[in-house]
Amino acid sequence: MTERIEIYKAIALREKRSRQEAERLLDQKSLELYEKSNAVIKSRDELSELNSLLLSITSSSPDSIITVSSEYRIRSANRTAEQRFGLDESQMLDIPVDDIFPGLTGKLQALEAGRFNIENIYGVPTFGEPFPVEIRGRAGDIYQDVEYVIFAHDVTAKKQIEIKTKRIEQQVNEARRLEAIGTLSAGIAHEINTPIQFIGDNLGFLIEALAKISSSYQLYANLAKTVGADTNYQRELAAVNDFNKQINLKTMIKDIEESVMESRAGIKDVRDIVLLMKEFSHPGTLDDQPTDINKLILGVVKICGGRAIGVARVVTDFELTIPELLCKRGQIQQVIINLVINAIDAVEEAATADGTVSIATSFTDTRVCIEISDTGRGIPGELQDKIFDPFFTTKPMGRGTGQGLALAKNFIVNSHHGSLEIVKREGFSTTFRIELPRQPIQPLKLKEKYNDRAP
Amino acid sequence: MKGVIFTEFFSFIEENHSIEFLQETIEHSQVESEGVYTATGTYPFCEMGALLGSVVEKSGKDASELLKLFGLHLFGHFKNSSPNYFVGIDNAFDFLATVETQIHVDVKKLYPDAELPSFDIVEHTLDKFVMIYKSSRGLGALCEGLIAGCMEHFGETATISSRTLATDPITKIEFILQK
Repeated sequence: MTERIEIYKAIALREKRSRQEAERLLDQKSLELYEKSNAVIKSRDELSELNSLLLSITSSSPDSIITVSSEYRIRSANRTAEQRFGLDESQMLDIPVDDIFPGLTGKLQALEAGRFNIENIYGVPTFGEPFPVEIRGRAGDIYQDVEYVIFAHDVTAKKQIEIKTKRIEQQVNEARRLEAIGTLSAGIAHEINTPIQFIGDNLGFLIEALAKISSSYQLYANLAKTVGADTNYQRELAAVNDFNKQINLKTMIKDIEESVMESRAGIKDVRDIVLLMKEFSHPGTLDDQPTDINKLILGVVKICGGRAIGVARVVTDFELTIPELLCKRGQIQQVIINLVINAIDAVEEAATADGTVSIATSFTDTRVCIEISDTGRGIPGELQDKIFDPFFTTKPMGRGTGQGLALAKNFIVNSHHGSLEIVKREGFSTTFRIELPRQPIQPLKLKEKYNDRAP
Repeated sequence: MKGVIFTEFFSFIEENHSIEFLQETIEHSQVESEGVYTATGTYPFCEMGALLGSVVEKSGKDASELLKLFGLHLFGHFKNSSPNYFVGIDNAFDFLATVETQIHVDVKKLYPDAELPSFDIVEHTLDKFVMIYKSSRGLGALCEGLIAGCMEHFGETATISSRTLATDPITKIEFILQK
């Protein structure tokens, strides 16, 4: 009996110790669980933070970031992609990548694992025009069934700059070509001027000589009349008169007079044009010079007249009492030439039968005004803010450098403190109005003038 | 070795003998822990060897036979304590196939220090199942008892034959189950 009691005591003691061991293990496990729970919470928070950071990075990326499956379907897209393509997340998921980048599947199929660049591909948004993109990415086992990760960079602005730069380069080349032609023209004008000078002088001599020959013929006619009754000179007189009649001498002298007079007038025009060309091609002084604006405009009309033939009627409407204006003559001349040529080109484009270019002048107490108008198609409203920008032109290559109006604005506004703007003028589609301040003669110049005249 | 094997072994001895027999066995085995075990603890495998030897000595039963019977008992405990592993499985071969891929994986999650045997599935058809048991403990008979318990649970019968492939340092036993 005692032995059995000892066994039960031993059993009870073992059970008690087992319970204590179980409680100890329970405490230990509880502590481990608590620590692991804390570690899990910390990891969860870190993952959440990391996830937020990743989401923030991908959302703020200027590029569309898209993952694509081995079946070439979209698996994920960042916010930039959703906004750029006008699709929300659910609309983008699982659609073929070709739906937004036509032709991309074929290019991806040709890739080997690793990084890749793809150019000359377009993104097609739900709304709006396709846009060019450059794609960089990686092919291979990215994550689960994701085979490709794509970073699509919108290069619309870059392409536009490339096109603009190319156009500017072409325009600069055109400007250089025109500059070379201008230099050549200046040389030609200089060379032509000398022979024209003596042709003019010789024509003057011919006119004087012809007047003398005419006087001599008149003397002969008087002599013939006096000796006409004398039978001793009848034969000689008849021979001279017959010859004169045969060649129609009287009329011929008159015709020669008229021809030479016309030639002298023509050569004077040529000389005027050559002088204008020389003046135009010469760099000119930057000093203000007293200028007859009407006369300056007439010179421009003469230079540009050839271009208007068969295209437009060039008319002037001058205020004849306009006072001389102190201005940089070369600059004003160039501005008016540019505007008149533009006006003629505008009329030519419109191709109307009765196209007109009008140049009108007027003045007030403080300003001189020049208006150059045409009956072309007019300038669309959306372009009116751009036409004064450098390198802006609507003309085809070889016809315009895009510098004319920018230069004109610079000369008028910056050099002369005047204004150049587009205004409405009845009967015309486009009118450029130049206003120049009537500057008082500088005191220094008055003093110089006074000193020059001093004894 | 996990404490649950010791505590279930004690239950098994109690059920088949008596609580007094168990206490005498423990004292006779002179294990260091003095038989103080909890299911969630981990204890030296050599204590199980000593306890088993003590039972064999006191009862006069064959050790292998004892282990097979203990395997049957252990499977019964397992199905009661972990019914979730049986959900969706309707035959013994499919269940045995999940031991290595699910049950041992979960045990490792709970007890990273647990030293578990491995079961390599060699053949798995509707009427034949071949697996290789690998363990440093050489408890092939316990494994056979567990397999028998599994067959019994699903109400299936099959001949279970085994072939020892290696014993040192790792015991490798091939079990062939043929319906």
